Order: sequence, then C-alpha cells, then structure tokens
Amino acid sequence: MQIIIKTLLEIWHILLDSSFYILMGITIAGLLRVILNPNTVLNHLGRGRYSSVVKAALLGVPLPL
Amino acid sequence: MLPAAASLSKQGANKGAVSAFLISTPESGVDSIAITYALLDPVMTVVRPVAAFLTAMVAGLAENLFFWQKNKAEIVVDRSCPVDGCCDGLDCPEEVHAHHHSLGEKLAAGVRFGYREVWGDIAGWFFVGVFLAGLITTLIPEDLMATLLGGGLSSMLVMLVVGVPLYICATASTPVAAALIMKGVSPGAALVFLLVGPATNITSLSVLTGILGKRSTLLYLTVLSVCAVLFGLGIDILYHMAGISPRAIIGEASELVPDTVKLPAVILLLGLSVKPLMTTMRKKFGAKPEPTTFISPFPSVDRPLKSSEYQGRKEEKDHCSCHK
Repeated sequence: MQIIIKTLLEIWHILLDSSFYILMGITIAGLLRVILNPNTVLNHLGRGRYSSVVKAALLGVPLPL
Repeated sequence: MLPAAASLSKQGANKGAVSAFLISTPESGVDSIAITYALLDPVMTVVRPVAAFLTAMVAGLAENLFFWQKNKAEIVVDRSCPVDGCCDGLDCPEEVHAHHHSLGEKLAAGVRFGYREVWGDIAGWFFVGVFLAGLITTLIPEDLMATLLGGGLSSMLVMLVVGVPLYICATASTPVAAALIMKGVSPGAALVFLLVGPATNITSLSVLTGILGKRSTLLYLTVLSVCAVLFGLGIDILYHMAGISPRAIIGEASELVPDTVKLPAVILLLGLSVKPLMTTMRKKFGAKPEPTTFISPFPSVDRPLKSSEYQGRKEEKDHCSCHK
C-alpha cells in the first residue's frame, strides 16, 4: 500500500515539474507545424548528394515525433 | 513518423536524406527539448538535439557516400494550406497562397494543432513513461543500478540492447531517464537510452527495410548504435571533467516555474489528455470505456476552441478558393 502511495506521489511530482514545459513545447511544436509542414520539407531538401542530408538532419531536430 | 518517411521517399528524397530525417525527427523535437530542460539538466538539453543532428548527418552521409542512388521520382511537393486545407496551392499564385489566413488565424491553428495532434500523439506514451519513472523510483534499490549501469562501455551496451527493440517516444523517455539517473545510472548510459529508444523499435526496423532496403537499414542501425555509445561515453567524460554531479542538478529548471503556475499547468495538460487517452484506450481494448472512468478536472477545456474553429472554418472555406 505504501509503495502505491509513494509511486503516485512520485508521478504527481513529475507532472508538476514537467507540465508547464510540456505545454510550452507542444505550443511551439504546433506553431512550427503551421510554418513548416513535414510534407513540404522536401521543398527545402533539393537533390544534392550531401547538402540534402545536412538539411534533412537539421530540419528533423525541432520537428516532433 | 514512418508514414512521413515513406511519403518523403515517394516524393523524391534520396535514401540518405530519408535516413537522416528518420533519425533526427524522433530523437529530438521542441517538445522533448522542453521536457528535458524541465526534468533533466541544461547539459542534456543541449546534448540531445546536437547528438541527434550529428548522428542523423553521419548516417545520411554514410548512406549517400557508399550507396548513392539518385531518386528518380519527380519531386512532388504538398503545398496544401496548413491551416485548414482550404486550398491545395497547385494553381494558386504564391502571394495569394501565403495570405489565405491572417496571422492570428495561423497562430490559433498552430496552437490548436500542438494541443490536439502533437499532444494527442504523445499523451498515451507520456503517461506510460511517467508511470514507469514512478515505479523505478519506488521499487528499484539504490545500489543495484549504480553498480550495473554506473558508466563504462558495458553500461552503454546494456542500454543499447534495451533501447533498440523498445519503442518509447522522446518525450516519454525523458522522465524514465531522469528516474534512472537519480538511481545512479550514469548520464551517458541514460543518453544512450534517450537516443536509441525513440529512434528504433522492432516494427520500425521492419518498415524501414521496406522503404530503404536491407543494406541501408543495417547501415542505419549500425551508425545509430555506434554514435549513441560514443555520445554516451563522451558525456560521462564531460560530466566527470566538469565535476558536475548529475544527481545534484537534475530537475532544477522546474524550480524556475512558480508554484502558482505549476498546478494550473498540470490541470490544463490533464484536460488536454482526456481525449487522446480515451481514443488510445478504445483502440487498445475495443470496447468503449465508461465516461466516468476518466475524470477530467475541466472537461470544457477545449470546447471554446472548437466552436470558434467551426465558425471560422466555414467562412474561410468560402473566401479561400483562389478564384478558381
């Protein structure tokens, strides 16, 4: 019983610590999506053998999932 | 994630670019960067996206260096309006297409997308991650983890074996990593888990084989694993040299947020989670769960958004046809 309470308390603390930052994160992620649709990413990649890779890697960093 | 990769490939991106995108997108995102700052520390907040970028670049460059294949498909770009899809953008002049919606509408659509779609995809996983973190904190004895995963190559390899077949998204893996570090797992070993967990799992590897082929999938997995282990070892050295105790600085950023903001934030987040969690449950168990099982603190959280959206959309559709 004590373990369950301790676990629940721990979960509550994690939620308290992270919720504000998550809300900020998903807000910015949503705004990014309107600016930078994953489907249009290709538009920026081009055909280059190496430049396309660098751009793809860089674009993937802020995009969620 | 994988559908995006398949469509990138179909749209004419080369294999190296697809591999790179498939590594840096799941390994890092604005949402996971924010939660890393909250639950881990500033070092990890910087290292995660940098490691994701470098790993993605190495994997993609290696692919195109060794197995360069020009994708012959015509580059087809989806230009449809990201706000509400009112216009496919095909015959629409650039200036007109960019101004279908006001800035306010675009911002509102972005926030809505973030709260619904982005969080909708993550919510279920996130709560699994938080639950796991809670269990680790209460159930696992202090010394066990420190001796098993306290650092060194063997710790990294153990994390690799755990992380490759497992699927956990970048945001959900963060509380788990924080709990592990608090139990004495070295930050490097935790980083291996943070990098490899989201980037690969058994299903994604088999789908990848379909998109990229066996040879390229093997290269992808090899580069990913080697980079993760190297970053893990490197970060342990960094903490050691800087004399930082990861346990001491973990979760400090959450103290920057005043308590009066924390509680409303939790309530809002839980409110936003009700719908995605119910959808996940329904998918998992088939039967429709009793509505009473989910107690939402503020059931009306997303209602105002909805109604305004409805009205807005109807009007937008009418004036947004590019006079075709």
